[in-house]
This record gives sequence, structure tokens and C-alpha cells, in this order.
Amino acid sequence: MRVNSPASGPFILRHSVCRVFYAAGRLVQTPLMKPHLPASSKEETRIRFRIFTAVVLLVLGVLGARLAQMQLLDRETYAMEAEGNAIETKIIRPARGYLYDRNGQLLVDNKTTIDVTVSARYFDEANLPLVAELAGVPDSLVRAKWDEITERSTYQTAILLEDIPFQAFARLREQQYRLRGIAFEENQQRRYHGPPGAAHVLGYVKEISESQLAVMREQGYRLGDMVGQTGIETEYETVLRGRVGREFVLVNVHGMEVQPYEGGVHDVEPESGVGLRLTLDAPTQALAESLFVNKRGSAVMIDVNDGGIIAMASAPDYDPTLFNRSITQVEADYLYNNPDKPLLVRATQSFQPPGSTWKPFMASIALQEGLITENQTLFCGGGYVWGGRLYRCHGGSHGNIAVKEAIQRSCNTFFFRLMNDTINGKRMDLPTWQAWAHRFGFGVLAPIDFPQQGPGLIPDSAAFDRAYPAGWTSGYTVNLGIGQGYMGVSSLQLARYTAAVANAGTLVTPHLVHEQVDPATGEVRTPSFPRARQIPIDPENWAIVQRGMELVVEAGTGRRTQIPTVGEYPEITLAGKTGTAENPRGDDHSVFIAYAPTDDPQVAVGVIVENGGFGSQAAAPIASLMIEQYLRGTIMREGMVASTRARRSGSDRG
Amino acid sequence: MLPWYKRLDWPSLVAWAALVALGVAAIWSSTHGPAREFLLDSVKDNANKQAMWAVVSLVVMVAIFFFRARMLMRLAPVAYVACLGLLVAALVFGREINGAKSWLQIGPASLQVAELAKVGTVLAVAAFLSLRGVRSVQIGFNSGYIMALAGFAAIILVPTVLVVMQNDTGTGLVFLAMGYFVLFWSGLVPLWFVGLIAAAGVAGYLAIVNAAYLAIFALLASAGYLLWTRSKWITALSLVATGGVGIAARFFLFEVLQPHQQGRILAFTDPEQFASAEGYHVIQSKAAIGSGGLFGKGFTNGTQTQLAYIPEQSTDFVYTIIGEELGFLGTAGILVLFAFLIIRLVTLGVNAGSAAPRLFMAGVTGIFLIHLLINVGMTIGLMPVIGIPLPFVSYGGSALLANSTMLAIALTLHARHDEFAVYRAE
Repeated sequence: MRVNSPASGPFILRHSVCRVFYAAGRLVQTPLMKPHLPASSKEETRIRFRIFTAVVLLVLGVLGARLAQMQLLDRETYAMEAEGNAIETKIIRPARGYLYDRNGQLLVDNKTTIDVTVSARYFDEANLPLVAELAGVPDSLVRAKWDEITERSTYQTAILLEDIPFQAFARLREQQYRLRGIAFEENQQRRYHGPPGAAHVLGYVKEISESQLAVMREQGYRLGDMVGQTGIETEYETVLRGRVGREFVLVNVHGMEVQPYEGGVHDVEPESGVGLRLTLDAPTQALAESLFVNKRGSAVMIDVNDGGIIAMASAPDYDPTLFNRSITQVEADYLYNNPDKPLLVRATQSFQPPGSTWKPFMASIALQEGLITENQTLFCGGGYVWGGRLYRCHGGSHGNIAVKEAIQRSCNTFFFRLMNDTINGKRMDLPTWQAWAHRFGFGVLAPIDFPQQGPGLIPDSAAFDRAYPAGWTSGYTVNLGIGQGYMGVSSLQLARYTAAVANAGTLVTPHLVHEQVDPATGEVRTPSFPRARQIPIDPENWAIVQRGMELVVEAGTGRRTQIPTVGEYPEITLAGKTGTAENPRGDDHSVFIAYAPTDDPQVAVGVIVENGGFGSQAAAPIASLMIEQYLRGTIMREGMVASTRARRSGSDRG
Repeated sequence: MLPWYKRLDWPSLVAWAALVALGVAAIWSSTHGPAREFLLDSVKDNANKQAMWAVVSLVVMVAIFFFRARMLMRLAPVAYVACLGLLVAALVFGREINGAKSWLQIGPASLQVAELAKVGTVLAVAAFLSLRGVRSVQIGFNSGYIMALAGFAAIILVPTVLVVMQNDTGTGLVFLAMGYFVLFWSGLVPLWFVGLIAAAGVAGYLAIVNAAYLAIFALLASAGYLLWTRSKWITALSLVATGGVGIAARFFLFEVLQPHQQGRILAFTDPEQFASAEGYHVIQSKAAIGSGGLFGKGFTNGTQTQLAYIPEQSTDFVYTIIGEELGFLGTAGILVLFAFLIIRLVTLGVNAGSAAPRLFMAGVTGIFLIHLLINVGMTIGLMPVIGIPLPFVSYGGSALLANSTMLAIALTLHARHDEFAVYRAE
């Protein structure tokens, strides 16, 4: 490599530093870098002006292009983001449909409560003590609820405090700006106007549970919604609920509502739930409930002509308002850990042997099957011997007895024979008996607009096989002739069966709702139920059984149930049958069925008082008083009311 | 020869008025909508205060129009020293707002001295570079040239250091950028060198955004230099200035800075990743502007604005109000007004024919351009969130006054450029 100059100096400088130095010098000598006065020539200035203008336009062009992309092409994306910030959808829960009795008396409506809601993702946990202080509730309670909410979901608004007093609301509202994520929600709670409580019939509503939410989310249910859990409330949930409304509001960065979104044009008004006029008669229901105080059991009164349930009482019962809020331990113990099972709807879910109230059934089918005729007598020698065992009759020997008298005097022997003997060359076998029982509505579910019920027990041989694996004989089935032993019926089934006897064979469809009433228009809709079924028994046979039941009240075991003329009120003639269901585990169950008036039957009643003793003692007065209350609209036998109330259910080790 | 007031550039003043009016309207919208009741009392009157500052600025501008051009240039050293005095005073007595100690309470007015310091600095650098002695230096290794460069650097760097010491790095960056544009127009350094600085700046930006872009840019820029200068040395230098600076920037960013400092710089590249902190501002800002669409949601109808989702909206993020409520028409309108004003001012400077007006315009337009780039860029996620205002539009009396004063001086220097006739001989 040639090095021109300087030639002097140390070698190292010549060969490295100097070369860099001269290289730098050559750089300066490139045409662009020729030494000149700063910006003196017009040409230089023109070049710089062009460059600068180009840079300005480039910078602004980049910014403008980006703006165009954001504002013109991707507007939707950003708009969604902005709306997601600002627009909050508020669910407006509709007023739940009211419930009335058959005469329009209000049973259940709603009251407005204020709940405090929290959006967990906006809320600062450090503010929990402040919320508790303003609301006037213990810290721990708010914290526990908060933990529960955040465990479920931090993205959904949930209820932090329920039903706060107005003063607490005022204090919180005032401090709301400090409590980001806190909001208020007006809610509706069920308000009960009992008596009657009718808790089992109406059912209760409760905040939707997680498992329910999993199933019902698709129907638009959300956390915090109240849902019918039992009874009419759940059976008619879809109509009672109404339609949820939506309100779109703008919320600011603090989560506070500022104004409606676009003037509220997108809002959807809630539609109140449909009101239900029930078939219940409030005074009769209330009376039945009062008569069942301190007892276990149930009573059902049914309209003989259309199947409307006039009263359906189950005892013990409970207070449905408990479920409006979180229940306490004491309340939970009463509801869930109680041998008396207050949540059990005994009228449809508890089954006892019918005792002698079964005899009109046996008489009806024996007449129809041709085992007996109206006046054919069977001999009662005070009992029935079968398989080396004596099945006793009460009241000693009845001698030769015909069917009507057998019902009147409740002759066991007569009905043992119907069940077990070959009479006129015919014998009632178990399948025939079972088929008839099913036709009368026993052992099967009723087509009722009520969610909780069981079929009861009308056994066939397979059922006996299961129940008695060691083997069984016709000695076991003999008892079925007098409604004892291995069988079970509910008071609803008894009432329905009695109605069928009263109206000569029409098995009515029991139902609880009379009409649906649209709260906005007042429009009334009558729901349609399955048609009543006809029990294939001839009218003359019905007449015989009816007469037998009339005799029970006129001169038999049911004399106490007579409703005599009092002042302006004429006598009400009843037909009935007492029953005492033997209970191997404790005191016998008292059973009674009746219908009235006998000349033009309107109502039929089935009553079971568990461990109540003889049918005539506990169950019969209840039925009689219910009939009086419903047909007269009042009670003239106050003494009977008092004595009936005074009775208690006996003991039951089961 | 026309009298000065007939040569006053009215279109520039119209642009000024339009920008100020847009700003006041935007501030009014953000403080008089439904959000008002949730605002701090100190913020509620911002629109009125800004309007008042606009009036004050107008009075000052009119007063400046009556100054002789050469008088203004002669005042430069005085103004510069006064500005340095204010900066030092702020450091000593100043109030700290948002972490920056750049506020000085003078009588009823609370002044952001860093903004005011721009006026004196631009004036001083323009005056210094237009000195006969400085303009006659030869580029090369001679004492005159080195003195000129050192003087220039000192004039820029002293206020820059003071501003950075006030913890207002954004404004410090503006001083450097201003110096850069003046350097570009002055001819004090060769164009290829000016270009290298710009390339290094771009490389630094790309280093934040994406390493691949950085590599591509470094190669393209160096190839461009090779074609342009045909010099392997300059090409090598450009590789260092782009790739080298970029790598250094990345190393500094990812290895030296603490995570929270990284976050502040990186947030705009992926706001969702930093959504809980630094990115929040960017997300909300972009949502506001993007959702504005072509026509906007209508004055006082922007949900992001009215529901206070954007912090510091009437000051540094005023552009989001315009973007959301007036849409692309509004945002593009602001860009067009600035493009007009900046190009108009440099044209006036060039047409003035002498160094002082031209260099002053260079500084002023440089300031406006860098403010516009950073301010608008940060609201649309192209730039890190560096807290500097949008000139004339953002709320802030000191900035409005300083920018208006600079504009008035620029217009006066142009209108009275014949007073510089003595320099035009050469």
C-alpha cells in the first residue's frame, strides 16, 4: 500500500493513524461535502426545502394512513371496544306473576327491595370494610359473600347485600363515587298474604343455584335470579317469570351510570309475569291448615265436577319467606333435619294404607265384577279365618250382611271375603284388583299441574315378591280387601276417588290453576288439562255404594260428621267413610273420605291424620268442618273446631 | 415596498385561530358533558382558562408584530439568558406536577417554564447561526468551525439538560429535535451527516418496535447511502448509525432498563400485554379515536371522552376528543392544518431570503413537527406515551403562549425581512 505523505514520523503512525486521518480527509472531499458557506446558495436551500417538505408530508402521511386505518377500516373493532367500556346492559327483572285464590283473594305478590351489587373486576377489595360500615352489617358477612362471588366469577355482576334498609341505601349511594364497581339493583321479593300459607301448594322461590343455572342459562337466567323451587312456583315458572327487560346505560370509568345509551331506544321493557287464579278457596284452605296444627297429615278437597283443588293442606308446613334470603342454621335444621319433614308435601307425597275408606272401592268393583249383587248377603261370624289365622271384625258378629250395610258398619269380614273368597263362581285375583285400583287413580301419578307427587303403592305379585323375598301367601293379600297392609295411598288420591264415587264414575283431573290473568291486558286464559276419565262401573252399582256411604254418616261410624241445620243454614247431607290404617310402628292413622251434598255432590274430601287414631276421631271432623266452611262459607260449630285443633298426632317410631 | 402589516401572513394566523378554536372546543366538550360532575373542580374550568390564555397569547402576538425584526434578533441573548434563568428557578423553587418539577408560580399564573424556554432557545440558536462570523466558517478541521459547532451545541444542550433535570424528558427530546432541524437547515454539517442522524433516530424507533424491521431498515439505509455517496466509509458509518445504534438501543432497553421502565417504552407496541398499567392509556386512546369513524360520534357525544375513560385527556390526549367526536374529518383536519402551517412557515422563511428568519422558522417548524409526530403518534399507538402536548390544541397556557409567541416572531421576521437587507448582499 502506498502512503504519499507525510513520509516522516514513526512507522506505526504512518501505517495506521495517519491512514484513518487521511481517509477522513478524503470523505470531506466527496462532491456533496465540498467546503462551502452554510446554506448560502439558493440551490442548497431549494434542496433542503424539498427534503424538509417531503419529510413533513411523509410524517403526516404515516399518521394520516394510520388514522384512516383505525377510523375508516377498523372502526367496528374500536367501536366494540369503546362500547364494551361504556355500555352496560342492565337486566330489569319483571314483576313475578301474582297468585290469587279462586275468588280473586290475593295470596302472593311482590315487594321491592334494594340489593347492593358488585362488579368484582372493578371493585377494590380494600373497600369491603367501608361497604360493611355504610350498610351497617358485620365485616365478616360482607367478606364471606365477596369470597363466594369471586369464587364463582369475577366478570359478572352479583348481589353482595340483599334487601338493605333505605337508610343504608342512602348512605351507600352518597359514597358510591368512592366505591367503584358497587351498584344498586331493585329487586322483587315474594310477599305472602296468608293465612292461608298454603306453603306446599304455592311452593317457594329462591335465588337460582349453580346447578340450576347450568341448565337454565339458555333460557336467559342469570346469577341472582329468583326461581320457583317447588309447588306452583316451579310448575308455572315460565308464565310467572314474565319477560326480562334490558336497559342499556352508559357507565363512566368509575362504573357509575351516567345516562341511557342513545336515549334508551334499544331498551326492552320487562313484561310482568302472568297472574294465576288458583282453584284454592282461601278460607277453606286456611281452616284446614289451622285444624292440622300440631298434627302430621294432609287433607285434600276437590271439586267433584271439574277436579279443581279447593284445599290441599299438608302438615307440618313452613314459612316460604325464609327462602327470600339466606336461611339461618336454626331454620335449616327445622327444614332439613327434622323427622317431621316439613318440606314434604304429604297430600301428594306421603302414602298410608287407606283403612276402611277402601271399602267403597271394594264394593264398587265387586258389584261390577259380579261377585255380589245389591242384596246378596255374606256371613260375618265376627271374623274371617284364612290360612289358620283369624282376621277379626270389629263390633262382633254382623251375621248375614249385604253390601250397603257392610259399608255402613264397616264389616271387615264382608270385604275379606270379597277379596279372597270365590263367590258366585268368581274370585277377585290380585291383577284384577290392581287394574281396578289403577282405574281409580291409585298407584299411579295423577295428571296434576303440580310437580311433587308420588304414585303410592298398589302392589302386584312382583311387588310382593320384592317386599317379601322369603315368600308370601294369599294371607298377605287378604288385608288388601280392607285397605290394610302392604299398600299406600295419598289424601289427594282419596279425594279424587271419593269424587269419582260421588259423580258416578268420572275420575276428574285434579288441578290447582283456575285461570291465567295477563296483568297488563287483564286477558284471562283458562288452561286446558287432560280430560277426565270414566271408570267403567255401571250407574246402579255407584248408587249402591253412594247409599252405603250416606248410611255411614246417617247411622254408621261417621255420625259425628253430620252438618245439621243451624239458623238460616240448612242441613248439609254428607256421604263418607271412616278408616283406621293400622300402623305396626306406632299409633294408627286416622283416615276419612266424604263428599257433599249427597243429592248434588259438589266437593269430595280425603283426610289422613298420621297417628291420629280412629278415623272417626281425628280425620272425620276435619273433613266435616272443611265441607261446612266451603259450602256454607262459614263455620257454625266452633266447639268442634276447638276440639279438633286440640288433638295432636300420636307417636310413630318409624 | 409594502408596509409590514400588509405582508403579515394572514393564512398562518387563520390556521393558528382554527387550531386554537378546535382545542378550546375539544376541552369544552370533555369538561361540559355528562362526565362533568365526576371531574375535579380544578379541571372543570379548563375550557374557559384556555380561552383566556388564547386571548393573552393574541395580545402578546400583536405586541410582537410591532417589534423590528433586527430588534427581535438582538434580544435573542437576553431572551435566552432569561429562559435559562427561569429553568434554573423552576429547578430551585418549582412546583412538582405529575413528577416533573417544571412549574413556576408567577403572580396568578402558573407557568411551565420548559415550554417558555423553547422561545428563547430557538431565537438564540437562530441568532447565533446567522452571525456573520459563524456563517463564514469553512467546514473542516479549523477552530472557527469547531467553535461554531460547539456554540450551537451549547445553546441547545444547556436548556436540554436543565429540562431533563426537571424530569421532563419529553420536552428535552423536543429541544434536541429542534436543534436537529436547525442543523439541517443551517448547512453547518453535510447533508449525509444530517441524514445519518435521522437514520439513527429511525433505527432507535425500530429497535423498540421490531428487530426484523430494524435489520431490514439498516440494510436498506446503508444500501441507499452506498448508491448516493459511492463511499464505502459513509456506508460503513451508516451501518453503524442504524444497525449499531439499533442494537445498542435494544441492549439498553432489554438489559439495562428495569421492567417498569421497559413497560413505559414498549407498551404502545402491544398495549394488551401492558393493559393493567402503561398500556391502558394506549388502549383507551385508540378505542376513542378508532371508534370515531369518518364523521365522529358528534360533539359532546363521545363515550370514551364523556365517560372519562382517558386520563389527561384535555392536555396530552386532546387529540382523542377530536378523533372520537369529530372523526377522521377532525383528525385529518388537524393534520392538514399543521401541514399547511409548517410548510407555510418554512416557505416564508426561505422566501425571507436571509439566514435569521430561515433558521428561526427551521427551529419553530421543527418543534411543531416533533410535537405533532409524538403527540399524535402516541394517541394512535405509533409512539411511546411521551407526555408532550399538541401545539395550540392541548390545554396548557404556557405552551399556548410559547407556541403563539414563536409563531408571531416567525411571522414578524418574515413580514419585516427587508430589515435584514444588510445581510442579503452576500
